[in-house]
Amino acid sequence: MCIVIGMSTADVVLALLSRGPAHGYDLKRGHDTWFDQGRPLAFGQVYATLARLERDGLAAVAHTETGGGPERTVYEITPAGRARLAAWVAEPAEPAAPGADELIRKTVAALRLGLDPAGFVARQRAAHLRRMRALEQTPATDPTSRLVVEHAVAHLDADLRWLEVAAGYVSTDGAAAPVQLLHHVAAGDHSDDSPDDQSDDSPDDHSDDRSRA
Amino acid sequence: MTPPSTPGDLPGTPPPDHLAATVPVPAGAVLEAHGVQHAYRRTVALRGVDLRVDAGEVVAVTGPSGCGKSTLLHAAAGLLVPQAGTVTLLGRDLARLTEDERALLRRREVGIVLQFGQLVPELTAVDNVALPLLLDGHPADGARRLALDWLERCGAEDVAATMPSDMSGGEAQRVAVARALVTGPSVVFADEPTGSLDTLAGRQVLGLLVAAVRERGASLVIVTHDNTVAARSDREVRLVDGTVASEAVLR
Repeated sequence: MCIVIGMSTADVVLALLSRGPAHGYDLKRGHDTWFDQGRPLAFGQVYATLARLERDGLAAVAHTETGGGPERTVYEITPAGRARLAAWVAEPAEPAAPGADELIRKTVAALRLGLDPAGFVARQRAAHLRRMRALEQTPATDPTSRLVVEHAVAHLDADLRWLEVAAGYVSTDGAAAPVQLLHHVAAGDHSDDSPDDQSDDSPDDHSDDRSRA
Repeated sequence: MTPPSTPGDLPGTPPPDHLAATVPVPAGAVLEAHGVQHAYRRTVALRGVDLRVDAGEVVAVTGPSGCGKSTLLHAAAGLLVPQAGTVTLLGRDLARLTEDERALLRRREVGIVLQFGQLVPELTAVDNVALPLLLDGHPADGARRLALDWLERCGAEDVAATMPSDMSGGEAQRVAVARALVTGPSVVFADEPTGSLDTLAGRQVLGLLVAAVRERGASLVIVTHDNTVAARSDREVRLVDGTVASEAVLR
């Protein structure tokens, strides 16, 4: 399960290094703890990243440890690295670019082509809810891993809301009428926005006997 | 035809065969609704809905505003008698019970949590929670002890002596959850129980409700428009414009 995608590994390694000098294995462990729902950081990537940071003057070799096992290089962040880290955190993340998502591609295709759009929406909804349920049951190992889960849940929720809206907006190619998926099905001429909707979601006629039931 | 009330309906007497209209239910079902239809003056809320809830199941009823989900919950809980269709709750055909019998069934075997808690404003938290027991003639001491116990389990012991008007929304909902669970119901109905709360408080109350229901092996029917609430259920039943649009097993 990979929640964190497109994250800049170099920036994260820099962030981890800012906590104090560390060697590659420390950094891998630190990364995997921060993002324990994400893909573990490969050793090869750690060392390649450190080499790049060193080349760019953002990290430097502090010393090498030789106690017992194989030699280990300990790195530390440089002042330029700290400046870069501060700038990275200060800059808001680019909101996810629209249109590049498999969910969007499928939804547009299903709705435009009229390929069982209601079934498509129901299946996609179930898939999202199942994922959300699994995330909700993920034990929170520490506060930041819970935060990463919350982010994923919020995204699934946004997808679900979008799916509902999309179903009402997208027209079938070649058809004049919009795909009527979520609203107004068999509604005749009664308006969905009539004030009587209030009486549905809060049938107040019954509130008294409820509270004393 | 409505069977006559029996003396067993009076508060204070134990619940024996006081609810006469018993019909066979499929094993495991605590709720079976068939072809439920209901209309308000100018709006059709339900156009023939079936809903089955098994023992120990947590079912979310979702859908856009005005889809009929609250009406379905009220019909299922016996708070409203639908104009057509049958609702069998815990083996009783609700339409064949008198209003008093339905009230008794709700008080003794059903828990209900609504969006704004619906606490009795003149009573402290502990008396609100003890109320269903007191109405059933339980001794006041024992009822209050049990109520305090449930307030504690719901993390609301600090407001035990507080009046509803002095509680936060989250506190009031915790008290409402305690009141719904104090009688040990086998099925709990919740209508947007976190709808009036901010995200964090809502999650805490919801977590509390779901955990308490699951721990007891009771069933929960929860009406919500919130996807994160629906995601805590075992099954989602989605209503659109008064009919079941889709169902999804999430477990």
